[in-house]
Amino acid sequence: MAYGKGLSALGLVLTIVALILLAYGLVVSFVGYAKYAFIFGFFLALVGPAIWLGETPLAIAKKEKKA
Amino acid sequence: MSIDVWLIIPIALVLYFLLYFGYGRFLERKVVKVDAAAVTPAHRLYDGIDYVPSNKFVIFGHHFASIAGAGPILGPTMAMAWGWIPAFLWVIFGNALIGAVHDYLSLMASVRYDGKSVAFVAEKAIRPRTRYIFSIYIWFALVLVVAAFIITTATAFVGIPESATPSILFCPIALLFGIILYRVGLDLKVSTVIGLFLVFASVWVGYYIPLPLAFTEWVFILSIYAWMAAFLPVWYLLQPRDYLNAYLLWFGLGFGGIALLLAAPPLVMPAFTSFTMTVVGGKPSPWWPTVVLVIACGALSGFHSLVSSGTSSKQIDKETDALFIGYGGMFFEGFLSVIVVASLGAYLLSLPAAAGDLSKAISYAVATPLPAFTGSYGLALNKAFGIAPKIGAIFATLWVSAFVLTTLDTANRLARFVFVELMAPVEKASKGAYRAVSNRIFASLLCAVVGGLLAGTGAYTYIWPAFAGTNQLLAALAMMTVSAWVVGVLKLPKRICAWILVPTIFLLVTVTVALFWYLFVVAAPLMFVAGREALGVSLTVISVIMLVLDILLIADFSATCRKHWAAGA
Repeated sequence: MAYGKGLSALGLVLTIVALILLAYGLVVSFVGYAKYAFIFGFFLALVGPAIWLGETPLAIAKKEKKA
Repeated sequence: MSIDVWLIIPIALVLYFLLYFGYGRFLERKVVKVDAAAVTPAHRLYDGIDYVPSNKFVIFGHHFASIAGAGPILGPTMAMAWGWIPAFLWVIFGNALIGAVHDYLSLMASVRYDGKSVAFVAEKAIRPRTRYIFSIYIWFALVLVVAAFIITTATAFVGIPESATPSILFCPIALLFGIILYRVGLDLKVSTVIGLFLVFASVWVGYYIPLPLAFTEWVFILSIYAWMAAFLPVWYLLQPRDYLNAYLLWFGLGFGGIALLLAAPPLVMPAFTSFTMTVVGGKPSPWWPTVVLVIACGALSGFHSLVSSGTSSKQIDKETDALFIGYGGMFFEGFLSVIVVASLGAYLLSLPAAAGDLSKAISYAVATPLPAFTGSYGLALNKAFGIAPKIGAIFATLWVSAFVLTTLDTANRLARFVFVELMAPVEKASKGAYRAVSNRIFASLLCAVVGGLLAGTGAYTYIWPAFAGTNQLLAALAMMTVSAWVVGVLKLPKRICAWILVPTIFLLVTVTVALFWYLFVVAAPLMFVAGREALGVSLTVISVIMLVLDILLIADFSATCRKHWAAGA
């Protein structure tokens, strides 16, 4: 990993949480607050893999600096 | 004899064909004088990232996916208020004589200037300050693009919540596609099959599990999305989504076109209603100049000059490829608008919201053009293939929304580039301050916040024309720039320059008049309407800024032309 293993692990956790939230929203057909959980999962799904793979702006800047 | 789609679709195809090989070839040979042997920036400045010589069909796909947003669909839908003939004529002749010329010359001028932006060409062809004014203008225009497209998508999701679920799921699917393709290294064909299977499965999921959220909630969500998508890497979200989107569009267009031809419905909407109809901001709107405000991408769009001179020009392999990409790409978009006109002409009156009543149909098309189009599309699929209208409408909303979302985050990304460029002088004063304001997260935030706040008002019939007017003025300014290039740099005879100058002047006059009309008839009076004061002030301020910049740029342009002609004489 080009940057911290801790951050990468956090990204992976966020990605898994995102998938769980997306699935939860669908399984319960968006009843009650599940629709908000689904949307929250959507945002996590956007940033989670980016953090996991080191593709956030900060991580990219760090990689460019190292290079 | 009733006129049906079997008449207008072939007429459009024949006209586009004749204009491409007539006027298009004239531009290529007599105006730009392309050189097949010239070394393009894609070769000369090859970097493997932005400057990459590519097959003309590949660039065509990229260019078309980038310029095709909601414009070719929403504009003609709203313009049905004047009848289908005025909309049809503008998407044929406005497109061929102005819009496609604008796209092609922006592309070629950029190719001749190392693939630089149209604002850079303005600096070289007109004067240095023009570039700065142009960049400020572009930023404001992009704010309105973001606002208009957030409203469009939010309205569509509220109207058809079944389309919201697949639209949201589309992003994680695209992310997964990008990761399995780029990181896991799975074969492109296998990745594509997986991606497309998941996309079509999401439509089915959405049909059974709609996502019901309020308009303001969607505005909030879409603003955050636009912000995030603009700072994430291109390969990560945009590229895979563009790629999957392209399949959706081809499929959607092809399916819709075949359905229309198979069903062969007569055009039951009137060919012409009246010169003045209630379209913009609930005010009586004359066809000229407002049709230019209302119909954007299908006939003419300034946003295209940003794409032509942004990404496409850096990939042109040979100068002779550019006509197909710039001029042909615009015709393809025009043809999409023709399909929209045909579809609405046939089915708009049959929608439940219209119930066969012309005034209800027009009000519905003007206030909520996306559901009006997707509903008509659903009916076309139903008549031709027996597919439930609701499923057809969900599918249409998905592919249109997918394009709107792409345009939304592309616009916010471009706004980030422009903002950082505008902040360049800050670097001289303070490097730390420059680092802070040019930070990708911060620079992406501004446009998303301002656009989101405007969108939150929900005033679609006010914001769409403001966006369209700004976008068309941007087109007029880009046309002015390429005209200055033709006059001052290519130094062509006046009789050849006239072919470019006449549409440029027509456009400048039309758009300037339209913006004055919008300012005095729509935006300024809104400041005195209870509950709409803030929106009225915002739109008035933006319109005034646009007009001032417009007048400054016209002054620069006319001075440049006079100087060159005086030197020539």
